[in-house]
Amino acid sequence: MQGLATISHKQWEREIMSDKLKEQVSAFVDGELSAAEQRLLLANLGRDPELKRSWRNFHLIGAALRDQLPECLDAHLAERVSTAIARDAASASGGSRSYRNWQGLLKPVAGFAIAASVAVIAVLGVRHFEPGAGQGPVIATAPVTSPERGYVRVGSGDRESRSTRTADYLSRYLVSHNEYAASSGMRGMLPYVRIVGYDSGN
Amino acid sequence: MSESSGMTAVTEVSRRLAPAWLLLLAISNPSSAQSDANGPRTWLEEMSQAMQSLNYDGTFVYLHDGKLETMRVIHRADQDGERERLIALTGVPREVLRDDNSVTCILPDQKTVMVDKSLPRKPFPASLPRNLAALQSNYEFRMAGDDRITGRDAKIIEIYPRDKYRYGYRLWIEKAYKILLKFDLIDPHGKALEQTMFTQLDLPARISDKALEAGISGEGYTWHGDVRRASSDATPADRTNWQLGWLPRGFMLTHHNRHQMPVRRGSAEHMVYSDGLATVSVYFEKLLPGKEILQGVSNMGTVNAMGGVVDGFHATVVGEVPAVTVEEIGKGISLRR
Repeated sequence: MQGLATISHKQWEREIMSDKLKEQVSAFVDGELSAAEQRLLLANLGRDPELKRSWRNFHLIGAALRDQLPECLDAHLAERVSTAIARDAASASGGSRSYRNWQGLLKPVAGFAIAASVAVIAVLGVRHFEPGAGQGPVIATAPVTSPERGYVRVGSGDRESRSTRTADYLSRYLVSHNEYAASSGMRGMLPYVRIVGYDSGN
Repeated sequence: MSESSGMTAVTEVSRRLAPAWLLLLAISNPSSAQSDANGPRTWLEEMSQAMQSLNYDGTFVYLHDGKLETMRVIHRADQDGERERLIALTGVPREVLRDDNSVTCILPDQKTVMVDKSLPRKPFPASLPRNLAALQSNYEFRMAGDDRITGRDAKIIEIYPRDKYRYGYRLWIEKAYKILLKFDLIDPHGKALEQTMFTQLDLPARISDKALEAGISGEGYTWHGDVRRASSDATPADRTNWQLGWLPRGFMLTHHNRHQMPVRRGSAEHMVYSDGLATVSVYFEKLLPGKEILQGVSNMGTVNAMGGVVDGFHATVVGEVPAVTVEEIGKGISLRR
């Protein structure tokens, strides 16, 4: 928890970040940037280690305000991003097409192997707030270009809204899956209880 | 009152309330009842039959992740087939309507209506007569005594998984009508992971059409799915280039086809694997720009899902199985070359 105590508004002030960029990062976190603006911002973030740290702290402050800080923080996130980007660049040229992507997803440093460098940061910015980093889901939108290789996370890192969003997303599959499951397996009280009941209290 | 006269009184009550065959159960040894006519298998078959063939209207609670939701279910079975309506009584008034042709999910919080084709339901457990031995190598069936739920006498059946790749079940089956009164999803140690229980239940002779109609018009909502198109689009597939490197013991392919997905653009190749009780679906969808995809392991209560990208396709493994199962299945996916 020692990382938490050091994050204060003072420190935030010390972070070198122009108002314009600050605004843009804030807008991005809120999902308000256009696709072109997102690309530009992400490109800047990818180039500037200082900015990357600011990005991370921005998220931490936001999470602290919402009382959603994870139990443990990864202090070496920025370094891991750099390493991952380097590895991604190195592995992008060749290698087997099959298992690599899946294996990448299963490690805490998930997604690096497949994601284009700029998108990696967006995914991480959100992943950082998962309880038990790396375990949680990320719903992403396949980007307009190069669909095989990137993820861009949209929307905020808010845990509650994400859990509702995950439930909404999964319910689409469940509508289809339920019919097959109920046609042959154990169907319990009613197969659709989950779709009707899940998160309806929120 | 002597012990023997107490026994007689119980027998008298049973004789008046329960069908004659229940008496047979009373004298049979529950522990050796596996293939017995009054063992867990018979109870499960009769329960399944009852849930499909009876009219019922009840309120039940659904307890998951420390939350309690209340729902109402109305089910009618007559010469026109089965119709069912499920309504959330707490929170957002979501509804699911199901008949022999379609399933309609109305989600007011998303201003969305999802429609999909319904599939005929085989009497459960369809696999039991065929694969009893196979099922018993993965699950242990036990008669676990008696209980009372919402004023009705029930028999408890427990189904324990023999490994960590599937859940178990604890069922309270009503003695007279074989209605499922309570249903727990359990872990291998018997701990309840999720519970559904009727708090009030009627078995009316008639249920009106009106009671089975949606309480929400769906006007102004976005509609997804077209039943006619969905059913003609569900084409059986017998060939695939995908291979699954690992499945839990006893899981076999039960369905394989291509169809439209509710809400999602484009079609999916869909494979369904089941061990007779637990079911896992694997979907393969072509990646399209702007399409939402799931990456990594995710859950909705006890339903777990794993999403990932393989060769320009998005693969989703989803099922009411533990996270480790969808994760291991996901890891084993590859494209045949």
